[in-house]
Amino acid sequence: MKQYTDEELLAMFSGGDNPNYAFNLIVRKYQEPVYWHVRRLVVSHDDANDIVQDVFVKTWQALGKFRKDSALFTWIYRIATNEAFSFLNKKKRRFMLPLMDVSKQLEETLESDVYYQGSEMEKKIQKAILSLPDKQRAVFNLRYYEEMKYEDMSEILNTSVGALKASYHHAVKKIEQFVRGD
Amino acid sequence: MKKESKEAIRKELQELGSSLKAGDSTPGFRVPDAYFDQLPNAIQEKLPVKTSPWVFNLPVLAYRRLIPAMAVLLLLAGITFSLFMLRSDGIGDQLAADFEAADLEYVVYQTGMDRGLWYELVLESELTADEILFGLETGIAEAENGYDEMIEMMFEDAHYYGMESSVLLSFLD
Repeated sequence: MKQYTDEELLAMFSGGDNPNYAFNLIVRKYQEPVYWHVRRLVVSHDDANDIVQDVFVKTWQALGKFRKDSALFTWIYRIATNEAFSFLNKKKRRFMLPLMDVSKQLEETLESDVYYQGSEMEKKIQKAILSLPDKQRAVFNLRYYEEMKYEDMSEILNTSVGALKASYHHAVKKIEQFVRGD
Repeated sequence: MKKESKEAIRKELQELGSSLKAGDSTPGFRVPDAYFDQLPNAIQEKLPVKTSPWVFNLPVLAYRRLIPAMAVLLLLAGITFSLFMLRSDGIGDQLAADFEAADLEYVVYQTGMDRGLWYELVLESELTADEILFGLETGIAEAENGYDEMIEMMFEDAHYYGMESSVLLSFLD
């Protein structure tokens, strides 16, 4: 299948006869990175599946108003990050959970999710990542697993490059300590 | 999406004195078989139907279509009335109880936001109007109480709805 550029896809969506087809191509292009980004944040496959579907429905609803002052992928990632954070915040409020208990709950989800089959070392690193605050987790995941540039992360998380670097460095140190068992 | 080079990621970790090694991007996470083949269809099914703008066309309102057209109009009138009642009795009352009416008007006026969007923000964030008003009044100084998160969410929501964060910021100033 031909890999269209974002510009081509947007032109097809807004100017073509079949916006559904153009949107389907956008979904096919971004579903996997968006899914993994959300999955690493919320851990459970079922939750990630619901959130990703909502992300693309919102993308569909707002795509006509997309101002193109950022790249399409950073815009979709931003919606995805907001949806995932919003889900986690609702969870915290619903169960009146402090930060530590949220990470405990996410750890339990990791242990019980039938779609998680990490090795002991992978599980240990995931648990270390889950002990971080949500935003720092997002920064770490985007940099470490997705090898994203700080400039792109800056658009997604609406945070300066300097602050992101500091956040990533802190995260690496904390994970290192956690894994070493300090 | 142009990625950072693996070398740059590795070098950065090395400079931090970390033993972490960038590797598999989905460590241990799995999905059901053929999940990504089916996901686009699941999303398509959830998409709201886009309707073309309604154009007034007299011949369309031929006699045989007059009754269904009137039924639709009555239904729309009913929905509008219910929404009005909901606003005044439900959300409106809840907000009025939380916000002083003048406060709401002031916030709406200052931010230049549509009142409906404010209701959406309140409902979307599941925060009480008091929390939002308090957050706006105190800014992000109350970080330890979690209001920074709330303000952040509001900015994100504002951005999502196409509003400029600077509008909210100018109000906070």
